[in-house]
Amino acid sequence: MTVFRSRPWRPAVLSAAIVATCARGAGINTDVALTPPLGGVILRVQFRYSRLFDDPTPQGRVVHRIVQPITLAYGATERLALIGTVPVVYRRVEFGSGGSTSETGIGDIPVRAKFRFYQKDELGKTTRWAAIAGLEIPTFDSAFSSDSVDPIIGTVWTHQEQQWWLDWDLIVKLNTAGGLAGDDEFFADVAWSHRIVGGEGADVEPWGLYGLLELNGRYITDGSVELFGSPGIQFITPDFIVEAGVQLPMVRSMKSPRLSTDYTVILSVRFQF
Amino acid sequence: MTPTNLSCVLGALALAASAPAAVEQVSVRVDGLGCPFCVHGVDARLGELAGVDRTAGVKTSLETGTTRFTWNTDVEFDPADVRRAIREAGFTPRDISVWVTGTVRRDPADDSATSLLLADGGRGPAVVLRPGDQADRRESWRDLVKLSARRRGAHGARRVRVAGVVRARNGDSSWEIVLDRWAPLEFGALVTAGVNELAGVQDSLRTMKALAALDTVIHAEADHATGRVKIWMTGKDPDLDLLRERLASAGCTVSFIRVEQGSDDSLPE
Repeated sequence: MTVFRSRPWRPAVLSAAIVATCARGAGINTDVALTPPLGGVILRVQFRYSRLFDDPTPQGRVVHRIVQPITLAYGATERLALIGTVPVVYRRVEFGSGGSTSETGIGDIPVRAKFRFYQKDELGKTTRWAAIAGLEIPTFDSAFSSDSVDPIIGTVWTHQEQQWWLDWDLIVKLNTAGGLAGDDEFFADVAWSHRIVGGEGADVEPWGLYGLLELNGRYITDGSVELFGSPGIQFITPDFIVEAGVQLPMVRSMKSPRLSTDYTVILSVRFQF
Repeated sequence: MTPTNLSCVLGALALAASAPAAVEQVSVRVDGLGCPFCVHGVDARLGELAGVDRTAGVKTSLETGTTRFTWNTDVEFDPADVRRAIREAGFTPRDISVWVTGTVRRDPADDSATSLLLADGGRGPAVVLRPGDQADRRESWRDLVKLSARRRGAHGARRVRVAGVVRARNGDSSWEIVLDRWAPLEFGALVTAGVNELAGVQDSLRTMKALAALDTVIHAEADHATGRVKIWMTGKDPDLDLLRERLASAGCTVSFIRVEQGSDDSLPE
C-alpha cells in the first residue's frame, strides 16, 4: 500500500525534535533561558512515544511513533550555547484496511545557537531571556527528512526560584520545502514547575523532586492547531536529571491530511559534564 | 659581620621566607542558583582554579546560595579569578569571605583589644582595621593576603586567623574589605633545635620555608653561627616528629631538640 507521498506526519516528527532540544533544567517540552557553563557539555536523551489518529483521509491510518532525540549542548561562552539534536525515529503505520508498514530513520537535525541577552540574578533566583537562531539540516532520509534547510528563530524567557520556576518560549520554523512540509510552524510553550521535596547535606549534594505542568502549542500556517497539557515529574541533581511526562491534547484541529496526536509519553535523562 | 648583625640578617631572611598570610578557606555568595542542576557548573569552574584543594572539593549550597572551598596556601589568592569562574558558570558572584592566617600587630597608638594593625610587608604605611572597618584601597587587600610574618620591630605581634568579606568595586579593579573577626594563634611552646647543615644563608632560607609551611609555626629563626633553629609554635605540646620530618625535608639533621613552655613575654620583639 502506498503511503501519501507528501509524508504528512513529517513536520510532527520534527517538531518533537525541536521542542525537545532544551537541555538545561526547566521543562520537558519547553525550552529554558539557561545555558551550560563555559566549556560545559550537557547530553540529553529522550524517548518519546506518540499515537497519532483521527485520519481525515479514507485510509484510516493510526501511527505509532517513537522519537529518540539525542541532544548535545555546549557552552561556547558564558552566554552562548550551541545545541544540536539528532532525532532517531521509528514509525509504524496501521491502515484501516488491516495492513501496516514500519520505518526507521533519522529526522532532520536542528542545530541552534542560544544567546542569553538578559540576566538578573538574586539570591536563590534568576530571571533570564535568550534568543535562539539556527537551522534544521536535512538528512535526506527518504521517510523522515524534508530535504530542505529550514531556519529556526525564537526566544525563551525563564524565571527560576528555588521552590518554583516558570519558562515560556516562542519558536518559529520557516519550512522551505514544498508541499505539506513547506508550511511554517509556530511553537509556543509555557512550563511551570514546583519543588515537591528536596534537600542537601554536608556530604549530600543538592537534589530535588519537581512536579511540572506545561502547555505546548503548535500552529501550522495551513491552519492546523494543537495544544497539549503536559504534566510531568523531574528528579534533579547537579549531575543528572531523570524526567517523565505525558502530553495530552486540549485543542486539536488539524487540516487534512494531517493526523492528530492522541497522546505522547516522554521519558528523558540528561547528564552534565 | 658580627654575630648580632648576622642574626639580624637571618631574621630578615626569616621574614622573607616565612609564610606570607595565606587564604585558607573561601566562601562566596553566588546569586542566580535556582535548581540543583545549576550547581554543577559552579563546582566545575571553581574546581579548575589552581589554588582550589581538590581533595576537599568545592561545596555549593543551593539553600544558602554559597559555595565554599579550601584554598591551597601555596597559591596566591586573587578574588578576580574566583569571580571570573563563577561568571563563566553563568552566575553572579557577590561577597567573597576569606579566612586568612597571617601576622598582625596591635596598633601602637591604640592598644585596645579590638584594634589590629596589619603588617604592610614594607610597602608603605601599615593599615589599621577594626571589625566593621572598610579598607577600600587595593593595597589593603594585598596587605591582607600577602601579610608577611614580620616580627622584628612589631609591637605585640601575633599570628592570627582573620575572617573578612571582600567586595569588588568598580568591576574587579578594586576591592573593599570588611573584617568580621579574628582569632590569635596562641603562643604555646618555644622549640629549639640543633641542626648540622646550616652552612649559609641559602640553607637557612630553605629551612625557614620548610617550617613556615606548618600551620602551627608562629615564627622561626635560624642562626647558622650557632647551628640552632628557634621555632615559636602554637599549642603546649608541639608535634616534634613532624618538626623533625620538616627539618629533614630541608636537608637538616637534628642533633637535639628542646621544648620550653611559652609565654607572651618570650615572643621575639
